Amino acid sequence: MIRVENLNKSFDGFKALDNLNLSVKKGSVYGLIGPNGAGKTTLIKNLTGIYKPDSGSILVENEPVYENTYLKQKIVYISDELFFFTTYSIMDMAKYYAGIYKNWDWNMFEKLREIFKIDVKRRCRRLSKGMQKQVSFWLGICSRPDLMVLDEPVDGLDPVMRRNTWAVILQEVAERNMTVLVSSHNLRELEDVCDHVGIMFNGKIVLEKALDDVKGEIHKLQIAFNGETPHIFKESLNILHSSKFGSVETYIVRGKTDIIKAVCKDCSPLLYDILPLTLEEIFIYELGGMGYEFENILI
Amino acid sequence: MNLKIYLFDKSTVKSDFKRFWWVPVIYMLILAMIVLPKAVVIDSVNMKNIGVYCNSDEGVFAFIFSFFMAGMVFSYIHKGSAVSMIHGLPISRRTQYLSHILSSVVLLIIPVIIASAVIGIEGISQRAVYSDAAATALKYALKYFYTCCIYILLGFFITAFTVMISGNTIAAYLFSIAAVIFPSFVYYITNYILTNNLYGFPGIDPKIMDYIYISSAESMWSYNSLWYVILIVILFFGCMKLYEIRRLENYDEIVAFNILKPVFMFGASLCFGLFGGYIIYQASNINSIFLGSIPLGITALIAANMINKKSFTAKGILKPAMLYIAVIAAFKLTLAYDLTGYERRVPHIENIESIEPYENIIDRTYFQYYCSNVKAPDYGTAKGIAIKVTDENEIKNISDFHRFISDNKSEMENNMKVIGMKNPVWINLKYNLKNGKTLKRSYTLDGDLCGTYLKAYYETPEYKLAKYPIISDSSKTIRSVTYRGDTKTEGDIQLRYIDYDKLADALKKDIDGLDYEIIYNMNKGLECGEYISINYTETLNYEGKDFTYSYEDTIELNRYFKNTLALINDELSKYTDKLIKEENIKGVYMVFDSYYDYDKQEDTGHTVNITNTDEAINIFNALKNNIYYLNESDKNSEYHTADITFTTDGYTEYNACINKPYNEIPHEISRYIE
Repeated sequence: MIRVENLNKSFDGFKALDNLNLSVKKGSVYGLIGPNGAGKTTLIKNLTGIYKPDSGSILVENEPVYENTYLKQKIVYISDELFFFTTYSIMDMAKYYAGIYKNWDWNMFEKLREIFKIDVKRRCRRLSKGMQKQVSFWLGICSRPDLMVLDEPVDGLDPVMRRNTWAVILQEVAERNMTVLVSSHNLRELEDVCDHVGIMFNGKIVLEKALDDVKGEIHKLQIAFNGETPHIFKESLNILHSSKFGSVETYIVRGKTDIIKAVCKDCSPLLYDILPLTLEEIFIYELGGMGYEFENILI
Repeated sequence: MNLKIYLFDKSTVKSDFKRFWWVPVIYMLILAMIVLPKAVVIDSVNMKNIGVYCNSDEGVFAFIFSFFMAGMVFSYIHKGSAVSMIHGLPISRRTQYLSHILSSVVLLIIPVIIASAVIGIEGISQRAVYSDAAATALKYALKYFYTCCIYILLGFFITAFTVMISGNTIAAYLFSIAAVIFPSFVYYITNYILTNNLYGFPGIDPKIMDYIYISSAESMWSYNSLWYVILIVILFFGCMKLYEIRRLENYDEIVAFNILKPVFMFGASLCFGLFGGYIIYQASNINSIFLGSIPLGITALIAANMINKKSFTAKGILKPAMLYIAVIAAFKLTLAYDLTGYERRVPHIENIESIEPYENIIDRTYFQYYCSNVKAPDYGTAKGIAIKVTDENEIKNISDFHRFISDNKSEMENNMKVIGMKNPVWINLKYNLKNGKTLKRSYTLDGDLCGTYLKAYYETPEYKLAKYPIISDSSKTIRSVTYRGDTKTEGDIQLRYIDYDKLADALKKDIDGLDYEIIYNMNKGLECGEYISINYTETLNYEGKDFTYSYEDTIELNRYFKNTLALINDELSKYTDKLIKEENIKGVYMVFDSYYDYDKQEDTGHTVNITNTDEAINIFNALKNNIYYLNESDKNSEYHTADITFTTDGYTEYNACINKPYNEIPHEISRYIE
């Protein structure tokens, strides 16, 4: 669906995107995660044709996206900074979008009215931030896009509305094979909805894989030895992080489960346990290896 | 694949109508309050001058509303959230741009159409009273409509241009205002700098401003407005291109294009610097616009640099500041040392076809009136000829005079500073060269330093023609003659019985008799004694039509106008009730050699207050009867001035003034001079 190759974008000498490569399959829910200032929003704005790249290519369905109005009919972008015309009500915005997006679906509009339960005559600017977010989803989904790009989508929504919103989006994914690219810091939520993930750091995609593969590659190992930890244990494993609490040592290890198990057995520990990592933990430990570390700071 | 390219997007146009419908409503209300009532109540008499009565607008409001409209309609490119939303939509930038223009122009044109229609319909309704009313009003309505359309497009695209190059709506409006006043600023500052620093610079023709700022429907309805049309077309395509290439991430920059940031920085520093230099000169009379331009210019440079970098830092300012100072210094040196040779340039005689040396004399206001709603052409245009010197000897004399002025620049300039404007002579020269070019120079000189060169300048027949146009051969009709004599009459007297033909003949004879010395002394400023103002008309035929021009020439009479004075004095005897009676004089108050001392900041001069009535009457009679007094045995020819006020019993006072050599002042007065 989306293929980005060697994308570069600078602002006043600062390189926001540095030879970035990215690939998103059709029908997937791709989570774009990264620390603050990694370039996620810049990438998204290049992807949706708002910014023009300095170099590189961005292809959606094998076509360049910049100033491609035909292609952009199939893309909806919901920004973290929402904008509505000052005097426009929800219905006015709906009519505006209906005039622009040829696939606009009024039936879906009515159906979602039941879910979002906001009076369509109300002025968008007068709504709360959360309600504005709902309206933007409402309008976006009714535009029936093939690609939905979301930047901090559920920020400001209450838990119930978050679930409802994701339910609608995932239903579109399932029914129409819609592709979703979502950027968020709420990794716990992304973990539930994404099937692919891309970790961004310093303007590059440093890791891009199916979420299951990512989880399958990195594990938390808790192990206790009778006496000192054998050297061979540490030498045999690709350890990303280690900590000790009492006699129990905790390791974050990259590798396949069966290999880790084999190494553990060879070292004859008192006990050991291999636990899966959350996406948040994967994010922390992957970027820790690149210099973006969590530190125990006491002021 | 893009299967279709749309010029306009319906949703965008509809959205603009929905959001900005109130703009034409307010515009219409203003027109309804200011313009239309005059059009509606206009009667048949006023319909002849419909342009006068409907010119309170003349497109000004069209310009103002379009100025604001462009800023509002494109303001979204200055907000990050709006940029994301609008440019995330499947509408190309070109389509966005064209759609906004379409909607804005439609909204702004509606009130103009209504106003023009009302003017036209009102004219038609008046045709029962005034047969030409319909044609006149429709013609004006069309001109008004055209003018408003031009101003709508001009105001819109100037502001759209500044919106495109800026990332901030307020900055865009300020840039737009600056763009509108920039030509005027350049004109005045350039004129000021060159006039004060370039010896002989004649000043930039102010008519150029009439071409740049076309300010009425009548003026707009001419070929002059074509350049506005060209500018609009350039801005239309320019703005479109800028919008297409603009980096939207620069939405919060004052200047959105990096390449324009140095232009902004240096432009601001030059403009503020030169303006600062001008202000310092006005406040302190120090003619060093360049020295004065350094502080404000550097300040503006630093401020612009901070705006560009969006931080309070003077880092990186040293090189631009040095460059700015270098540019100012280079300009100053070029002018100070005449590196272009401008001041030394005097055309070779063999290259000169004619000289027009008296433009400053003949350039006076005159009244022209309209014939059947057609504006009369400029007098010079209708006259077809300027006053030119073509005689080879006279050309050589004037050219030598010019060379003398140029070669003695230092002395001439220094003396003007020391002496001031005591005996100023203004010399304006316009050379018409054989290669079709012209060369103009203008000088203010101390006449005493010019020696016999002034003779060559004053003794041409063309000079008298320029100074006294009434003696020209063209057919004229004198309508009235008014006399004023400070010591003869109580106020102005219209001479109702005088024979105009005899007066014209007498004047011509007297003027023919004036030689160089008389003219030079007259130009030094004789006593303010007697004047006649002659109101006359001259009919000229231009392009098959007759245009009548009305003038009022005021001629100072002195002892050399013998024939004229004889006629005047005979006429005055018929107005005894208007003549000053000596029995009314009670006292006299005289101030000799008065001038303002800038060091002491006070008026100086010798004051004499005479309350003795007989003495006052003596002085009055001395002035009245000895206007042309000369004591040939007294060699004291030092000039003195005197402001004389005769008081009466009531509030009436009679004023006279003297500016003469000592030996030409009657003894009754000169004995009071210290």
